[in-house]
Amino acid sequence: MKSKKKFQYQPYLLLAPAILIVVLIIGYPVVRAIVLSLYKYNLTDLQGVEFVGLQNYIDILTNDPAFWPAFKNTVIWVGVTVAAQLLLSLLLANILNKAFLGRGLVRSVVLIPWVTPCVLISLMWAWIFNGNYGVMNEILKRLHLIDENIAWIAQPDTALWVQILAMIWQGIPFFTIMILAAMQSVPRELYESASVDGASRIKQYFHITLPGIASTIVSTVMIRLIWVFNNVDIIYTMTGGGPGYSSLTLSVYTYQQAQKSMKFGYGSAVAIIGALFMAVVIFIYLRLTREQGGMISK
Amino acid sequence: MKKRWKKLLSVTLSACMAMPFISAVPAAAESKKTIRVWYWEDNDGSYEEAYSTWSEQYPDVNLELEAIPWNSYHDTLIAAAASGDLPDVYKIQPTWIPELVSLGAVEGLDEYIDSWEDKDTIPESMWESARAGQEETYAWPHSLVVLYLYCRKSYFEEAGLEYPETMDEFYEACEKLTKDTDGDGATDVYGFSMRGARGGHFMWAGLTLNSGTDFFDSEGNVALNTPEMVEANQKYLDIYLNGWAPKTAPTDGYTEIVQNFESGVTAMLIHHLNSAKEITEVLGDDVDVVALPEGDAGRYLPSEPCHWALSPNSENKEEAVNFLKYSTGEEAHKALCKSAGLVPFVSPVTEDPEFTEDKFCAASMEYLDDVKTFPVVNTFGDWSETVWPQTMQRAMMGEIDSAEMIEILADNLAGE
Repeated sequence: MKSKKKFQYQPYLLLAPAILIVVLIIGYPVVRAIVLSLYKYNLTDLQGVEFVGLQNYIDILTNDPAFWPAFKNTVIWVGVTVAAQLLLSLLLANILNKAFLGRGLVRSVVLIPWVTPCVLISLMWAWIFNGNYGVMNEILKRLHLIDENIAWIAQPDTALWVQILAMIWQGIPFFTIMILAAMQSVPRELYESASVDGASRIKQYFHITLPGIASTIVSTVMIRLIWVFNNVDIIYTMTGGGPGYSSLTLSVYTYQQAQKSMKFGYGSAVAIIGALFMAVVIFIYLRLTREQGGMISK
Repeated sequence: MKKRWKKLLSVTLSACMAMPFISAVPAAAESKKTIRVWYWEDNDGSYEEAYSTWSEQYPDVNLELEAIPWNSYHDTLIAAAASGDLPDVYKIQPTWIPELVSLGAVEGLDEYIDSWEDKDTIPESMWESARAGQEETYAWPHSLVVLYLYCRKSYFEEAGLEYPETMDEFYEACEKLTKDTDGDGATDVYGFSMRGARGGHFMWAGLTLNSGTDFFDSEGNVALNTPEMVEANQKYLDIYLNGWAPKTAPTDGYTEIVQNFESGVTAMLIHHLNSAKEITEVLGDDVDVVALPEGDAGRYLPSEPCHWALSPNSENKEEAVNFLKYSTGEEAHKALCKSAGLVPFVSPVTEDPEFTEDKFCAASMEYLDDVKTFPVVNTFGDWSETVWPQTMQRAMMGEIDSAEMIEILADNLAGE
């Protein structure tokens, strides 16, 4: 005779506080943002608040001169920054994984960009690339690479790239430390037995090290994709998204619309489009890296 | 026996824990009232210094001055207004009044003003600015600055130029003061410290709206888009396009334009009294000031009056109103004008030789009849914060021409 299985309430009870917190601090703002995006909701004109359905989305996608330049800049901003950070961090982690004199000191110093506040980083890079007194122009002039000062931050062709450089510099330590930790967790015995089998250093790197750190790289890249996409402070402090729209990203545009123009409805719609875009990117990324993803994709 | 000791100990400990409450009761009854004041600084520490006599005049009321950084002031204020967490008194610009009224964040002040015996010490123009076209007055006059033109004296002497009086003379000066001083083929000194970033609309308005165009006509319709304005705007853009302003101008904000002027990269700068102290510390006597040049329709001198507003949620309204009266009293007003670098408007401070004989202050007060304030409409906040800098920068980059720029500015001002 089959006994009727008793409903187990304890797991739900134990999980309830965590679920409640998640619902309150993540679920509610997300739902609120979606609802707001369907309204004309300007904080400076509360009498004019009205339900407009998908009109904000239609306006953004078809009638907003800033959206598509911001979208293009976001793709460049996130793509180039994360790719460059990954490559440079791999290189740096390999160097720091070797034994050399003063390694401990170097490992600490490498962390400096990561612990420096973003606003300071922006001001520092803005000074380096200042078009009138910046040290970069001075170096390039002394090397006879340029004759006249270049207004790096005030020209549409260079403004975004200077900020990408600042962001790459800021993010390398995080990547490096994660990769370094993963490298050190790869069992030594694997290298020893590979050496006994006659595998070269390069073969060991590609067949032991890289597979060993793949899951860390996958998860770290995903985190960086989200963080770089969300970053507002570097661009906002250096150029405010300008000149014109040339360094405007979706996150900065959301901030401008919601925080500066007080258009909460329109700003929420821009944010939702940005979040959907990132969700698609992350989905494709996880599909492509499913084999290496380790616990992230399983 | 042991039990009795325990009982005694617990009673003693409970009594000790209650002590702070017992001692707090008389203190609470005697505690002073506090009024919180939010403002943004004109010069660091200037408010603390100017209002230091408050505690002598009102020993029973604490004054809690909280300086909020200018860059986040408006956002912080609107968020506080929306959540009902405003301080008793806060500094505002007149253009914010409609949005604060719609949020129910400002208390009507007519009753207090009408019964104030010293109200005539403040000129009608300042009360009008505080009224901001509303039926009731929601603001109390606080401060005034008027834009003027800083000129680097030695550069003008070297070029054999007089300080510009008209727009033609101004553009001529921009051209002639732009120089390659070391002969390496690159420009080292530029005529004008142009500001393409946020806040640049003040200078732009001062040099273009003197062509005879204004933001709105007498019926309240946007009147910016005129052929005269397109032409005046083109001339203004030409300062950058002709290379008479630094290449960094599109993203230059307040800090950069002042640094460029102080370091000798530029020969002329438009700003106001706030920066005079800092500039004279660097340049000494090598700087003069004149009123903004005259255009076809006279002078257009943008001013920045600021006012105090009173929160309707304030629990100490009477004390807060006393603070408003105190701040526009002769002593505090003079002290603030001196410490913060502001133009005095309260009589008789306006006749004080300390101000009338100061060249920076005198230049600010020379043409007070031509002083303009920006329109008080709902759309102006977004227009000045976001639309103007983006559109100006696009025009400087050549993405749009002068006519397109003016059309975008006019449409956005009309809320289209």
